[in-house]
Amino acid sequence: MLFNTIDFAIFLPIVLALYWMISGRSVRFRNIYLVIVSYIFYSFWDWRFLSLIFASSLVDYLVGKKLADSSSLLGRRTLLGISLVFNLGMLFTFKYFNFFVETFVDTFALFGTEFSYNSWQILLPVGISFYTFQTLSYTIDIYRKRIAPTNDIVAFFAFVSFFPQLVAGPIERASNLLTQFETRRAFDYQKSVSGLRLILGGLFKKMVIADNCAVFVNTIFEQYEMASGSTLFVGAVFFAFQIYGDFSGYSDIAIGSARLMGFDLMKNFNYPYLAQNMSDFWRRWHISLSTWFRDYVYIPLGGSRVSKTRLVLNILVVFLLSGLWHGANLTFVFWGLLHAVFVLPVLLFYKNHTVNFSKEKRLPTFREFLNIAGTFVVVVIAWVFFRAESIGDAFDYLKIVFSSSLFTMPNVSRGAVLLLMGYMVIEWVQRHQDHFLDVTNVSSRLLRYSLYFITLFCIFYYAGDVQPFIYFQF
Amino acid sequence: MKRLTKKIIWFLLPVLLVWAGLEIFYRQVETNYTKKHELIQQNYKKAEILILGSSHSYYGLNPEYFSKNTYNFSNISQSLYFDELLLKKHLDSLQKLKAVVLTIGYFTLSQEDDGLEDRWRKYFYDQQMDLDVPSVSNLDPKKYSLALSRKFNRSVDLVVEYVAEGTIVSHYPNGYGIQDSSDIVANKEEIAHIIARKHENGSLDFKSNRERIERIIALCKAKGVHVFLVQMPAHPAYVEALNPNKWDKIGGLLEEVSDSSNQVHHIDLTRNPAFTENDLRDADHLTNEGAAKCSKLLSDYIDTYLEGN
Repeated sequence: MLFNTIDFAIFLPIVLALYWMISGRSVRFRNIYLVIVSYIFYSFWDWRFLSLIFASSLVDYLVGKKLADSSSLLGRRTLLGISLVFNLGMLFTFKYFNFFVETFVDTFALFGTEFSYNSWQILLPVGISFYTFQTLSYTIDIYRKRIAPTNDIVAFFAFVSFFPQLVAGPIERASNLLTQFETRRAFDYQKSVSGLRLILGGLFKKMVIADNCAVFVNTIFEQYEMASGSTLFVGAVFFAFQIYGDFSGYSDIAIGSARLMGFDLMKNFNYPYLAQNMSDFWRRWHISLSTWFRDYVYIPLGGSRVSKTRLVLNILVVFLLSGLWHGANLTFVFWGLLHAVFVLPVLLFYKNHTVNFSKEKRLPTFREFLNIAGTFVVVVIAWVFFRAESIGDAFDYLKIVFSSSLFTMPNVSRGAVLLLMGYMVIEWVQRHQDHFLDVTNVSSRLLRYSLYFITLFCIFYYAGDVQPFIYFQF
Repeated sequence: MKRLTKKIIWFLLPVLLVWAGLEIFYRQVETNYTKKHELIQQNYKKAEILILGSSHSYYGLNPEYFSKNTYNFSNISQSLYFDELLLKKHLDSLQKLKAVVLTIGYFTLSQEDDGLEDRWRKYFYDQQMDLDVPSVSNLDPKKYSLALSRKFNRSVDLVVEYVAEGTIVSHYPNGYGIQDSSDIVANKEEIAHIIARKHENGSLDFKSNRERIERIIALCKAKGVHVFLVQMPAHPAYVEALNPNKWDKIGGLLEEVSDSSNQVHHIDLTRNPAFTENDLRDADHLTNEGAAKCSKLLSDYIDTYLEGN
């Protein structure tokens, strides 16, 4: 069930109505209800894969309990190992098995050794990368004694399967979300209104920006050999906005839906295309994943308090894994590698890479503008590898981009370019707000409602053809 | 909670009103689907030839130029999936039917039953042509609201068209699609490449559609009705831009199917020299003149085959 469908528009109000109707009942009763509706939500894709969510929840719940009881280091390590092997094994089996076998066979073929193999015909369970990382963080945090295990199995099952963020995040931590399942939730008018704003804004990003960009992106990437460099560059820019609108729109709807039930999910995007360097970009893009890799891979490897050689290695490991997390394809690995290469100079040569915009200034300084534009161009180049069918295609695409035809008039819709520019202006104006439609700073009620209606009209009138959410494939 | 619910209702009230208005529009105004459904029933006692298929036949075969009484029951983007459902529903009622014409394009045999593109049409077949469409679930809200099945801006365009022209039906009473010179594309070669890419889904899996054709043939054979599998004329640039192996496989399959019975005939007009660039309005559709030429040609073919029996 996609968030931008009529099915969800019917599902959510029914779920909410019943949820608040049973608000007088115990927390446990409401959590049971949430587990049931979350499993129903997931079963709209494929009910068979519910067994994986169930198994992952059960294994990590039991491992968490045992971890708290175990005092020996060996015992604790064994328990952590069980959780890692189970979750990563599941991920490997369903997502990476064919990729690794094919890469293995292709590599040996390069040296003249041929292996015959049959690829495994298996479906990728929706959201597997998200919920396995979420459950893993729970056991790792208990192992590190950062959190205590929960004794409430229902709360834990609800934490793993919570439908707004089950299939595409944000990847939550037990310290934030599980505790909310263990406490009583009361209806909060302001929180609900902010949730509705997020849903409206998220639908705009997905249906107006992402789905319209998708049409141009598909055409341009499918026939890139025939287009000019300028057209291909704009095509890559469109993809940058497609994936941003698609994923951040999804996250906004997820966070908004959760708020309507009284939950606070973590922020996943913070105006990433206003980033002033690549390190800044990763503090603004897919925050729940980048902080996951920071906390569970980068810092255990030593973080930045190591030699420069080790730092380079740590960054490479983190970004290669991040690339691989996105998909079982070398294009994603290369995309990760590129980001590592772009982030490294910032970490190695700039002492202060944390940047903030002044609240007083209406316009960015010339330096800030150049930083934003430069970072954006680098991000766009990397997106080409993310979108292309193969690394070879991506290089061929970029070869045309960086040819003399880059300086010709692009053959793209000017209306779409203007829409994106207009959207970026709105983001700049709203950069200190929670999200682009957070108009709590607008005192005029009439103006606020006018903005809501304009957004709603755009969603209905200018929505592109329905496209699946890109991040569902991860 | 009550305060928020009230506010949401007030906020969404205009949306609900517009939705209700569009729903009434779709239920009250004649569409291609309601009109074709009405016309096929009027043709039950007279149609001798029935044309099925997609826009290739909708704009390419004009019953006016057939010597026998003909009804064009094709529609834009009508796939074999719906051709079969429609034929199943109406075949028994078509008392004088002698032949069924089924046009097969490059994409027809590899088309999925429930592809993303033009998915809205299945709800119109279900609701306005009284078809029991298996891919429309009873739990699907769009089954009960046609306004939900189409994009809002397309619905608004249709309302505007209705206000301006008094109808949104885009075919003549014989089922042939209305077109004029404004539909003719200037640079056909360029559009041919674009359309070719659009029509290439990379699939060579014809299994389910082959079975569908075989079921259509079986239905017709049982009634003594001839089936004419026609590949319509197309722009040479379009033909060349597409996979030659797939063309061969399509032609081979149609030959194989037609060889299986003397009541099934395969006519390949894809590269027929009788059709020039002026007969085409774009990459794969005929102009009115091209349609007249094609219809006469096909009518002669059909007469020859039918009289031979």
